[in-house]
Amino acid sequence: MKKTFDLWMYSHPTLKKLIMELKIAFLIILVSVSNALAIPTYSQVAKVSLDMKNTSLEKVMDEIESQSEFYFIFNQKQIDVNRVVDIQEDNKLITDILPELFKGTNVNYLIFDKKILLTTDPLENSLLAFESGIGSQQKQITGTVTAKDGSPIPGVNIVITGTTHGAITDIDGKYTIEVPQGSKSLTFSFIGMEPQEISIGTLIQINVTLSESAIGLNEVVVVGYGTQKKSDLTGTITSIKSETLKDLPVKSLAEAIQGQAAGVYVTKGSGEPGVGSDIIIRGAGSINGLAPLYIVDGVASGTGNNFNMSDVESIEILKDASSAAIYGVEAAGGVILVTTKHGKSGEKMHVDFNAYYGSRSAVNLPSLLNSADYIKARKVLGVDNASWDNSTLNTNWISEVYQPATEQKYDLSLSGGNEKSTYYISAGYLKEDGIRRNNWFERYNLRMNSDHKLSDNFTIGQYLYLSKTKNNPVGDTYGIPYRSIPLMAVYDPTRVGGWAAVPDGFQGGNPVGDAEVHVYNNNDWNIEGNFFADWKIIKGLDLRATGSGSMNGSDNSNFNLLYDYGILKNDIPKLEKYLSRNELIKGDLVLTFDRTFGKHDIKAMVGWEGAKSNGTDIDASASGFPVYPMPSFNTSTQNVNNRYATADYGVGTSLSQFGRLNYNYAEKYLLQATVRRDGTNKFIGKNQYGIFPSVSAAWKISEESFLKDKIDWLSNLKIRAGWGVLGSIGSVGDFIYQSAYQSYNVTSYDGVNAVTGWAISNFANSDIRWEKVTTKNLGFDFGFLKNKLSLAVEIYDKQTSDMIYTIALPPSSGQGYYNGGGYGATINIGKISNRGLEFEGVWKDKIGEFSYSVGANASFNKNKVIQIGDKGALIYQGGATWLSSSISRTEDGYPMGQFYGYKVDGIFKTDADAAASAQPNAKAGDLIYRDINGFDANGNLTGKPDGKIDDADKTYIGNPWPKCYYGINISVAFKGFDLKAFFQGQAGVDLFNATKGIRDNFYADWNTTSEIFNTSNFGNNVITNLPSVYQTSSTGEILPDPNGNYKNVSSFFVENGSYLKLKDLQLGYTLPANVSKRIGLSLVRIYLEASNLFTITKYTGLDPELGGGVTGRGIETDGMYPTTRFISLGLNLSF
Amino acid sequence: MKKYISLILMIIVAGMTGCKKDFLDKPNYGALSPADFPRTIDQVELFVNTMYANQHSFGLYGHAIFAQGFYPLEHSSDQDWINDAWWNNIHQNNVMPGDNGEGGAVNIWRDCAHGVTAANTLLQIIPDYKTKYEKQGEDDELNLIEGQAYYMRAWNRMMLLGFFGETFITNGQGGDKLGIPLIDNVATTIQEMYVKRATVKESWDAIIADLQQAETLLANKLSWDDANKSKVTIWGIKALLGKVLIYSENFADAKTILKEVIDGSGKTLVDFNIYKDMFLGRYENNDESLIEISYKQDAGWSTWGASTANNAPMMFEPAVYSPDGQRTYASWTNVFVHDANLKRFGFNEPTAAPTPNPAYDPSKPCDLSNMIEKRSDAFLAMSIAAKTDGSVDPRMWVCSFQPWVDSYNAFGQMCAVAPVEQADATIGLFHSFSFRKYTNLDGRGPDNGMNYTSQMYLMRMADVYLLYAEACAKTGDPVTALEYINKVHRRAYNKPFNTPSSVDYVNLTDATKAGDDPSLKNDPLKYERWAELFGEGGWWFDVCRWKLGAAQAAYFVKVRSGSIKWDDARSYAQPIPTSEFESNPNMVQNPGY
Repeated sequence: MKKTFDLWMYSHPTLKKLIMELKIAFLIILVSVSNALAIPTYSQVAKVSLDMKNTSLEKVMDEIESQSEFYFIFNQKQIDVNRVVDIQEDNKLITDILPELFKGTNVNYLIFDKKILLTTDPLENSLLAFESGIGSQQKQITGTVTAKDGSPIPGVNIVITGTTHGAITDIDGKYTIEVPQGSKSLTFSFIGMEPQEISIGTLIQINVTLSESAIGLNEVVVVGYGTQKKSDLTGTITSIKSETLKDLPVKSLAEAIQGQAAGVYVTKGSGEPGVGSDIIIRGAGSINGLAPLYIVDGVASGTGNNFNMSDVESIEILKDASSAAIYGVEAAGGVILVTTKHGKSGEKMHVDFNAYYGSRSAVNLPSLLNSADYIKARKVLGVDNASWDNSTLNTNWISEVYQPATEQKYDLSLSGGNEKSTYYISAGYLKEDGIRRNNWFERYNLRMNSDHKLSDNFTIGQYLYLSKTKNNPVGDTYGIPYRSIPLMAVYDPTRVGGWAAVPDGFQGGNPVGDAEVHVYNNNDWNIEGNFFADWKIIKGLDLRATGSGSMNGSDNSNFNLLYDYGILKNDIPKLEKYLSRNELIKGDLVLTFDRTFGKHDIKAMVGWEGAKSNGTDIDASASGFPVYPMPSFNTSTQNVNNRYATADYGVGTSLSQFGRLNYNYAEKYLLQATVRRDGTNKFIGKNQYGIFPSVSAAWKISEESFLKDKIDWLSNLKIRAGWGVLGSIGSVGDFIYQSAYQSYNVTSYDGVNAVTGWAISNFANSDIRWEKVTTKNLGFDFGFLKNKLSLAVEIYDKQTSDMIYTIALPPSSGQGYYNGGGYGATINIGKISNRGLEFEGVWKDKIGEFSYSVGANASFNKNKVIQIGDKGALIYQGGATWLSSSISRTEDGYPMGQFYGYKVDGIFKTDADAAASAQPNAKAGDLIYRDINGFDANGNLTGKPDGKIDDADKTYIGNPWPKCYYGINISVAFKGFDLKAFFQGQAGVDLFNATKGIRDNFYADWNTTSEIFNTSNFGNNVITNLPSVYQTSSTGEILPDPNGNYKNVSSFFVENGSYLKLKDLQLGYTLPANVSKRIGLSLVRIYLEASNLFTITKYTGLDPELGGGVTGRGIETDGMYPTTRFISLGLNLSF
Repeated sequence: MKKYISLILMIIVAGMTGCKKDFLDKPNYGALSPADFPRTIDQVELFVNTMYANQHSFGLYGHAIFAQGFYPLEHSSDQDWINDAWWNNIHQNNVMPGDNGEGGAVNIWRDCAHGVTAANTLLQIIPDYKTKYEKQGEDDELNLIEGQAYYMRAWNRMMLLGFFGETFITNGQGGDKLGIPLIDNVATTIQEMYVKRATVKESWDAIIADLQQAETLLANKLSWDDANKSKVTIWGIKALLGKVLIYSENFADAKTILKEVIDGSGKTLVDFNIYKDMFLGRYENNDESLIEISYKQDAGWSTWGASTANNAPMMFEPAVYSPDGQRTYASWTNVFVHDANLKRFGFNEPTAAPTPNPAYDPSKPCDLSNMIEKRSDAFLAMSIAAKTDGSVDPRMWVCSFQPWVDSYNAFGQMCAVAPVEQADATIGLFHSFSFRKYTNLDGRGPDNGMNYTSQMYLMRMADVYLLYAEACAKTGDPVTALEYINKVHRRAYNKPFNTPSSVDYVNLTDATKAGDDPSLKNDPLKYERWAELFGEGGWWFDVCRWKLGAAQAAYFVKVRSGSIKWDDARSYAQPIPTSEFESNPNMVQNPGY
């Protein structure tokens, strides 16, 4: 390994000639002080031992450099470094070694302190050259180049403006440059960064902070099976750099990219530890949701909670068909390419340590009634219980169940490399405690990436990622403990398990007990990696073979402790175990041709890919443990024959061929065509293979002579257009095409022996095939003011056909129910249209030491179901226990999953109004449902009001899809300070706040909130803005909600769900480099991070950010895990 | 360099050769395809098991059919649990459209439909098996299998029609109303599943036709070996056919076939001392039993037919005084016997609150001999005497547990039964007896107290006698009718049932114990069907076919959650579940929902 790094290009004519040919990566010259000749110190003390036979001169020089601080300076044209030498010297001075090494050659050498000059020129000339280089007309400028976050940037080019003379920065971002008198300024440049020109004046130290280019036009982005210059793209790819995602406390990739790219709609409606987010790219293209395909370093893989975001170098989102089509049958939901960090060639070991520690708390929680109010409200409803009056119990179940929780994360990474090999190794630990009692998530992860250049034409590389996660899930009861009453204690040490009994007349459980009566030990492992070999066959022709594999498994156990809540009890200690293993092996071969002929640039690629997976799992339980909890069945006293076990095994295979052609004429006209053929074992016959073509073109108008350099403010203008077909196998299970029999149930004819029953277990559809998504895309890229402002506008039209959906079978068919689970008919039923408009813009600038950037994106999408199945077919989804029907309905001609129920026209003010209405059970205080339709004698809709409120009057009352969703990123840097704020929001969206049915009303034996006191006619109330929860009959009988105010799905529950959230706010301070240097570090940054700091919304539920799939989204029920606010302190260290 | 090239070539070769031609064709390891299965007659029998197991699925005799189906509709039960609107509504005969509670209509509809499909699956498998795999000598067994499939299809359709048919045929009226969807094949396309409802008449005809097929195919199947002893025999088929003929008002044919059962089956009424305990997991497949569901204790939560046990009594097990004297529930105990039923049995004692028992010794376990509280000594003496002296129909104690008088094994020992519900603000004090049939005197099962194994009767001789009596009465033979009513009646009073006794009804309008119930007080046939079959889930169908709904509502008046809201126009037919309308465009709802 060479240990010196500074490159120094010199102005002296002789030396210039000498250095011009030097191989940059191999040899670097440092000129320091002028008295090199005067003090011959080092060479008189440093000793070297060599025992090298039949070795190249280069290797010997390497060895000398590695044993000592000597380094060689030479002209490669003069010195043959491949010359084979034999040398054996033991602990000798350099002055003894050099004569031996160059014996019999014409090489002369000179030693200046630690520098050894080799030359075939006469020594006098060289000496002169060295001397004059340190002449008095020169001045030396030093400095450090850093990125905005304060991290040093190695490899930055520093050039004396207008000359070719310059230097590059070392690993610490430091440089030294000798500047001739009269030089005006220095230009600092680095790929992907905005170049900077700094006047020299009288400065002798110039520190520079480089910021990312507004549009990294020369930036290379990762595309499927290769890379491309961003400026040459014909499709729509949004690129996100690790910088943007740095230090976000997120648990999945989807969550990390929320609000970062137009057209990518991410929602996270849960604060549960380790839980993921919903992601929809360019509108809900399928009832199956169309999850994007995640490709990590070329390998399809999961990026859920076991994935460490800190390893990410960059993310590319392939949104349009022409970009994604190379991934064929799995690409319809868009493709997200993730590149992890790799070491850099010629970089000494670089160590990063990042950590944060912080606290999470619920953003919002309801307050349930306390005992006094509970009793008061129940009594109004005619319910009384003698035991209440003497009770001193007043349990606040919300605070018993929820508490603030901590989260911590630590990452350590090492990276570096020499000219042959590079490496990146990272290890991390994360622990997130849930705000719910006894609920947490933990992850350990390790990544090893390396690349090795075996020869000029041959490179191999690998990555390996290992992770283990552990979690303690939420126990038996989910969500907000509405079904708990304050008149119940939490503990009672005299009872089995120590939990208090539920009171008379109440049949809920003990939410705290529920959280504690399971001893979970849930472990998940994941190992994934790839290995590639790349062979440059001839110039422009490259063959790459990649083998990848993943193995993951689970070992979960759940020990059910004894408890007795009175009415609910577990009197048998029971251990449930679940084990699973999955494997995926995949291989691909890609042949790439890339040549330029004059103005014609041609890139062609063909590839082949095959994959095979298998998985198995075992579910077992045993009970009757005298001592517990126990992790094994060995101590169970249960009869072995009565224990329970199931085991599954499945396989999957796929085969694909694909190709891509890129043609570029004069860097102005760009064309791309791809085709992929995919085969899968999920389908049979003619449907087994699918072909997915795409084509796209772009025109760089700003490169045309009539624009180029003619209009100052317009730095970039490009038009792109594309068309393509993508596939999706949706959520299709295996062997949908076959009808099947499975063991279904058990019975006994004699009360002694059990026999098993078999039945149909699948609705067979032999014609099942992939979903097809055809996308048209038109895009415009603009760059203004030297790309300070960049803007991209996209218009797309995405049509899904042959959509796969599992529709419910009519219960009367007697099919579709299987051991308490169920199956439906999985068929290709429909067509869906998504049309949209996307904007992405970034403004970046720097004023003195103050640099800032503002990025914003906004997306508009219109979703419409063209056809689902037969005419009149409907899909119902979403519901709540207390509601009488499904909430969302999907029907032809409307967006997916619209809320469907009665339109409410206010509240009846008088009994007379109610009596005159179409609602026979209504009285003053009840909701007025709009009579809009009726049935005729044959059950057909008449389209006319009929004086009755029934199913005919249900209509669409809300749309859960936002008209617009957007993200705003602001970052500001000043001296050592950096501030990052990320806002995310949506507008024009309806949400269904089903919790009103329990928040404002007593449902069954559940608790409620103080809102019940605000309902119409409650106690002494008059008509309020909330409907009545009860009526009193003429005989004094209390009738709970006869009008169904809190039971019927109606617009009463629908609310405006627009919001703007400050998702992330980060304030950091980087210690000045000289300070951190003093403690041996190259970077020290501390930061304060806050996520979900505030939300601006009119929505009255807990959080307007609600996911929930595509046909039943935007519904809040009691089952939600409250979202959390997180405030943390973080630290970044590098050395 | 060469070694690198050979490396990459090796990878290519390995990759390519790893994929044979059938790389994309993998066998299904998770299920068997109809092409491969069933291939032996034993495998065909596996499909028979499903039909029987389905009878004790969640919506039927595994869990819901009593406490969430028959009991509330026919008012055998009053509510302890009053916190679910759908549950209150069903107790008030006021089911609302959209009442999709966990029990009730949804599960019965679904699970009976599943039973029909299980039968249809077999009816499709059999001809296929016959052409491809049948071995010599398998004819008889295949006929038995096919016969059981027809029987099961008929039984499930009868249940569907009883609950969801728009009406029974009463006095020749109602045959043209909406019945049930008649599905004869396992649908392979979605369109095939969009089945309309046939008429009530067509539905009964289909049920009768299936049972006649079964009758032919099982003609010689008089009994099964021990391992299969709960499978249906020819006598079970004939008895059920008789019942269905009565339900569809074909009294003449009913009379013939029921007589065949009476004369030929060898079954009879068992002695009272067996009778009184034969609902408690004892005397399985006894001389009176024609069709019964057998259970075996196992580990699972006995839902979905995935267990060989049931958890139906969980909802109606008694309240007891625990050994430390606390009044507690033996299980969920959501319902108790509606007090008006006790009056019907002739138990006219007034309610009264118990008083503390001064003799209670807290150092000893609380049980019948050491009660923490009790009713008066006179009340206890009367109750014990009434069990045998005929002042109260003795079947009341066969059907129910009386607080402070009876015991129940709840905590591994016999505990004194307590009232489930002692008092209610609007109704006042309750007697609040608990249900007794199908509970388990020998203690609860091992898993969360949710495993019950007392066999359940779908058809027994007392039922046959009463059906036969009805057929005779309707076909002009009141003498025979009276005799068969009296046989059942005599046994209830522990008299020899074939000889006249002091408790005999003298004619078909003689007074019954239901003295204050206008609809039953002078109708021994109806009274006996109610009293004899109480708690076994048949009374609701009788209420429907005799149109007793309004009379019942007038007699029972209210349940704990409110007044009974009977509506002749809709209360007889249960609403077809919403989920059916959300998936079957051809379905039509019953009137009033």
